[in-house]
Amino acid sequence: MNSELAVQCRGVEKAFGNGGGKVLALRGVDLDVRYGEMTLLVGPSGCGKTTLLSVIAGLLNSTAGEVTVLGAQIEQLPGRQQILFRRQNLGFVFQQYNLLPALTAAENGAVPLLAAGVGRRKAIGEAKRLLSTLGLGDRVDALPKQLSGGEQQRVALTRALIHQPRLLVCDEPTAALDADTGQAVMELLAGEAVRPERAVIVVTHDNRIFGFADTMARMDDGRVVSVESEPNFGSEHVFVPHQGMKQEVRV
Amino acid sequence: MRTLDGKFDVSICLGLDDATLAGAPRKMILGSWERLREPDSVVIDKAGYQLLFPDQPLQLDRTLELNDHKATIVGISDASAPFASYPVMHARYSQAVNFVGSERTQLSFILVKPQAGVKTPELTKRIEDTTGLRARTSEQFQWDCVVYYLKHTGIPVNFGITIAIALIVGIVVAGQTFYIFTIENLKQFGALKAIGVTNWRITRMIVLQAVIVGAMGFSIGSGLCTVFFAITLQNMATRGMVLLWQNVVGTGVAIFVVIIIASLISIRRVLVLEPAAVFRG
Repeated sequence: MNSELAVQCRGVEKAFGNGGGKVLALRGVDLDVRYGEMTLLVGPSGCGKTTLLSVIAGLLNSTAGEVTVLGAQIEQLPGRQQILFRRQNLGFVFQQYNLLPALTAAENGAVPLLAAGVGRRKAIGEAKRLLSTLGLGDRVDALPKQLSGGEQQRVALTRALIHQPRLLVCDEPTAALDADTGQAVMELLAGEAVRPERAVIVVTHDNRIFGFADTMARMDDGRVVSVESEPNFGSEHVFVPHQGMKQEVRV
Repeated sequence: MRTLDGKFDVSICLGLDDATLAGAPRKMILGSWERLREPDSVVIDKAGYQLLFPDQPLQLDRTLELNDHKATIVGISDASAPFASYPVMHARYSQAVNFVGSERTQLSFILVKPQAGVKTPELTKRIEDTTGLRARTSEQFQWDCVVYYLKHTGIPVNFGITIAIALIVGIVVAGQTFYIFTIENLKQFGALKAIGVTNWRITRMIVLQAVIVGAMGFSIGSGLCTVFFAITLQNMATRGMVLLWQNVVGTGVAIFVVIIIASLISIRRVLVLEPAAVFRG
C-alpha cells in the first residue's frame, strides 16, 4: 500500500439481508484517501456513503473486497484488537453529536482518553485545553443541553481529536447546523483536524461545504463514480443533486 | 381479663416458678417481683396497663378480674412486647394455673438453662425422659415460636404475598425505567462503542449507574422505614414491631437483586447494539 494513503478500498462490497431480500449497499468501491487531506464523500441519500464510512471505520465488515486502514487490514483484526485499533487511531464526529447528556463539555471531550486509561485529571485538563483552542474555553463545565448545536459539535470535535487520531471520520457534521454555524464548524475542522499525519473523511450532501474538500469522491448506487482532487468550486460550479435530494443550484 | 369499670381484653398470663420466680422480665417500672408471693397477685406489662387503664397514671394495687378470679396488680413491668398486642401478665405458676382454670394438661414444656458443665441436649433429654415434658432453652423456644407462626398461621402467606408483589413491581418498574433510559441513550452507547469503549466497560457503567440509583433508593427507603419504626416503637400497642438489622440487610439484598435484573435487561440491549447504528439518522 502506498505510504501516502491512509485508506485504500479495493472492490469493496457490502450486502444486507439474504436471498430475495438481499440489498447491495456497496457494489465494488475503489477509493484512496491520502494523509493530510480532507476527503469528502458526497452523493444522494441511500447511495452508500455512510455504509462505506462504517466499513472504513471498522464498524461494519464488508461482504467482499479489501479495506486497508492506516496500513492494517482492519477487518482481519480480532474483535478486541479492532476495538483497540479504533480507540487509538480513529476519531468520530457524528451528525447528532451524541454527547453524553450527564457529562460536562470537558468530560465529554475527555472520553477517548478516559477509555484509554488516562488519569481523569490529565484527561479533563487536556480536554479543557483543546476546548479552549476550539473557542469553548468558557463553556468547559456546561452540560450538552446548555450548549448550542454549533457548540455541541465543537465538543464532539474535541472528543474526536483529543487522542490525536490518524484518521478522522465525520458523518454529516453540518447537517444539524444552520449555514453560518456549519461554516464555522467546517473551518475549525479544516484548520484543526487536517494535519500531514492525519486523514479526514467527511460524509456529506451539504454542497455548501464542498469548498473545504481536498478530494471529493462522488458516490451513486453503491459505487464511487468520480473522484476529484482539489476540485474547483468556483461560481461556475453547479451542483446537480441526484434523485431523492432536494434540488439546490449554486451559481 | 376485665377491669372493675368493665374494660376487658384477652391477655397472656405467664407462670413463673413458685420458688425462684425464674423467667420474670428483667425490668420493673413500678413495684417488686417479690410481691408476687402475695395471694392473687399479678405483674402486668406497661402496654397492657395502658390498654386497660387509658390516660391513667401507673398505680399499684388495682384490681382485675381474671376468669372470675380476683387479681391484684403488684407490679408493672417493661416486658418484651409480644407479636400480638395483648397485655402480658406474670404470676406464680400455681397462681396462673388457678387463673386459667382447670385443664387436663397444665404444663406442656419447660424452659431450661443448664448449669456450667452440663450439656444442653443431655439436660433436655434427661428432663423429657423423666417428666415427659418438652424441655427447651430460650433460644430453642424462640425458634419454636418462629416456626409456629410460619407453619400454623397465615402470616407468612400474607407477608409473603406483600413482599412478592413489592419485588415484582420493583423489578418491573425499575427494569422498565432503566430500559427506557437505555433506549433513549442508545445513540450515546453506540457512539461509545464506535469510539472504542468495550462492552465490558459499558456493562460496568450501566451496573454502576444501577447500583448508585439502587443505593439512593435503599437509603431513602431504609431511612423512612427507620422513622416509621421509631414512631411505632413509641406507641405501646405497636411497640412489638421492630426493625431488625437482618430486615435491613435482607432488603438491601433484595434491592440488589432487583437492580441487577433491571440492569441485565438493559445491558442485553446495549451488547447487541451494532456501533454502526450510530451513523443511522
